[in-house]
Amino acid sequence: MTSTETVADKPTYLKNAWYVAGWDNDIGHSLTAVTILNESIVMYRDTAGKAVALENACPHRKLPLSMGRLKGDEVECGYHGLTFNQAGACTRAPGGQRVPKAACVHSYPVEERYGLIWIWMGEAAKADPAKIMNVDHWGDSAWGLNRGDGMTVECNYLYMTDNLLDPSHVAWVHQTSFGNAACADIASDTTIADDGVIVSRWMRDTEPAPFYAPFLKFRGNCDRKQHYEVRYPGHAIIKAIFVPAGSGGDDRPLHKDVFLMDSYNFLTPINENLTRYYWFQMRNFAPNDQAVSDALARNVRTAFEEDKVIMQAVHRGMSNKKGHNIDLKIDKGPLHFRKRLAQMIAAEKPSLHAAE
Amino acid sequence: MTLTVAFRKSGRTVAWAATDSLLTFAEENGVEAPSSCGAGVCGTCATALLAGEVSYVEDPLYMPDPGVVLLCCTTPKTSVILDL
Ligand code: FES
Ligand code: FES
Ligand SMILES: [Fe+2]
Repeated sequence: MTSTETVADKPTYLKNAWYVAGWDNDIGHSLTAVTILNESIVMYRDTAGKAVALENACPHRKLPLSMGRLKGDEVECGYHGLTFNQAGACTRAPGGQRVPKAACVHSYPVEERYGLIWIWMGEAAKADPAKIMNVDHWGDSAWGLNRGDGMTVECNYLYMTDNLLDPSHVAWVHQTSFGNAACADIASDTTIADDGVIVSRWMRDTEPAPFYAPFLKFRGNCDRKQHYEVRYPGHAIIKAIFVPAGSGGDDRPLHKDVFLMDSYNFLTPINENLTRYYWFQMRNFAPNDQAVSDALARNVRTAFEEDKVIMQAVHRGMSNKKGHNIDLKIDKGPLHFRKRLAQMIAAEKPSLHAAE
Repeated sequence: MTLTVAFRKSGRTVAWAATDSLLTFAEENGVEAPSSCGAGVCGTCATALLAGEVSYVEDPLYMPDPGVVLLCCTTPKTSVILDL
């Protein structure tokens, strides 16, 4: 077995973690079915606007509750009317019978932050909103935000964590956006942190890549830093730094014309073969310029479509491979990430993984 | 003649007062008893009868094993001791 294989009989997802369930406007006062970590979930907003996420299976005959009706704050099963409140407790049973004690569905802890709805997939008692990733400069009036987007990618999420820990790929996958020839031959440093892995590199005195060039405040060549960081279980911060050539370096203050863009990328496994991908970007310029936000959003989407094509084909290639695949030096960060994540999953309570 | 219902695990003995079933009686007296259908079809309320006799007020889907009663569809015929 090579290190990039997924093993069907091993648990594949970290349960005690926050995942992005959607954008805040994806969920309204109606029943919406979503699948996260191969669990079917029904989501809605109650009459107070609070987002609710319940196990999407009536305990009677397992009809998806999403096929029922939202009655005020509660969900009524579409088959015999068992009714459940926001906590997943049954409040009404059909045929004048007592409410069965075993009639309850799991209610997932839910939080809203950064315009996103976050769901806790593990033991409810451990759901701590303070563990939701922190976004630097959020609400800082000097920084601009292009509220991002989402897409479904037909691949295992670990091919995406590989990609988000691999600054090298921009030279081949993103030749018209994030990368150019200057990106091909420069080695990266890998840092193993407690909460994830960071792969980064400085490129010196190079032409700015096409995506960034129109937004730079200086002319001529640049020093560019790529900081690729993924935190467990699959939340990436990709930082781009551009300064005039000769002024860059981790040990030097940022040049006054520095271009900074922090790209936040959140992976939510739907199942082993499908991943939901959400993102937004923060920038240190043009804070309220909608045209800049729109242009960035468009360009980011175009570049991520380039990744999508590659990752889907990699998933298919790896799933159907006839011979060995090999690992390269650039795989150091991605494979450290996979190893540590597998250890964290193995350390979770077996009962959390019983259904997988 | 007063019938009594003894709950062994809870260590309580209570004079029977007419209700629809031993299940309702247990709940009214604050004794935790498992149940789901309340109609003799699921078997969730099956409880060991340690002494005494019951009568079925409703025919269950499956009669439980000897020594076990379905609380939701029985009332005491004599004083009983339940393993609750
Ligand atoms: S299937 Fe939901 S109440 Fe029967
Ligand atoms: S509760 Fe179902 S048989 Fe008694
Ligand atoms: Fe990419």
